[in-house]
Amino acid sequence: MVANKEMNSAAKKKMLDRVNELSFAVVEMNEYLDTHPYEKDAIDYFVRLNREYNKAKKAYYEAFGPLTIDQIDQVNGMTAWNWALEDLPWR
Amino acid sequence: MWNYEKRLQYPLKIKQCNPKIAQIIISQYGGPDGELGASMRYLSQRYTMPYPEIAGLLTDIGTEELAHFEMIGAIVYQLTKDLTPEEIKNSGFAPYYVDHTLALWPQAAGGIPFNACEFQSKGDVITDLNEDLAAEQKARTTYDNILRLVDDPDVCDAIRFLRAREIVHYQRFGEALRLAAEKLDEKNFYAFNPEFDS
Repeated sequence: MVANKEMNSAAKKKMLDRVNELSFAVVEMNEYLDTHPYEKDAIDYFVRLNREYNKAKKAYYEAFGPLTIDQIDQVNGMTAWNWALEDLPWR
Repeated sequence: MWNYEKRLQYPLKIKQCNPKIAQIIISQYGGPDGELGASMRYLSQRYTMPYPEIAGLLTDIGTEELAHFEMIGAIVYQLTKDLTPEEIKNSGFAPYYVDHTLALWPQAAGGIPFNACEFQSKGDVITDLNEDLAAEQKARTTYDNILRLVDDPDVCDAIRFLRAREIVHYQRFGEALRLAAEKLDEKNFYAFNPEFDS
């Protein structure tokens, strides 16, 4: 049971790291595009990154729950409002 | 309009409680060159910014600064959450503790409360972008100073991330200033304010 919990926590961290890394790249490219709005290669790169970011967020949501409230569009047996009940990210 | 994302922009896991460095780092929460002032500066300047890509940049960087504000809050929280009354008395944290207990409150390291006079929203493209360039460098200097005072590797790792973002934002504001200068009529460059005169 303890081992399972640790494995779960490691998997959670790995998936969240992936979300964080892709989100960082998306933020960086978005700011770059603000001052280079006509760079076609940068637009293509942004779209590619954003697609991967959305996939990573969805995978995290399916395994561990929502990162943003707009992800919650299915009841899926939910009997409590976990969005509020789960810890905030600095805990 | 904003949406909350239930994660920090950069992960934080500080193992060692340390009220001495918390008192230094809180300056980036509510001090003169802190993340709160940064966010409010850009998000306030953007309304009258006539060039959409620069107003967009102010919105996007102002939004990222809110995530940095949250990170600094999280660092201070993790550095102080397990303090005992004895540690509070012996670490110099008592003057903060008496007013705020262990809650976050925006102030400079020297105890001066957050004040909107610490940033400008002047309504002139050239003036505001120069303010933004200076602001990014002032924040970078503050992070350099923090790195000279702090040894905890978990804290330094996050501070280095934030420091690097100041440098990138300085680069973007430099590009924005060049874009704005190109758009201005060279003949009346210093006599014309596109946020007011056009």
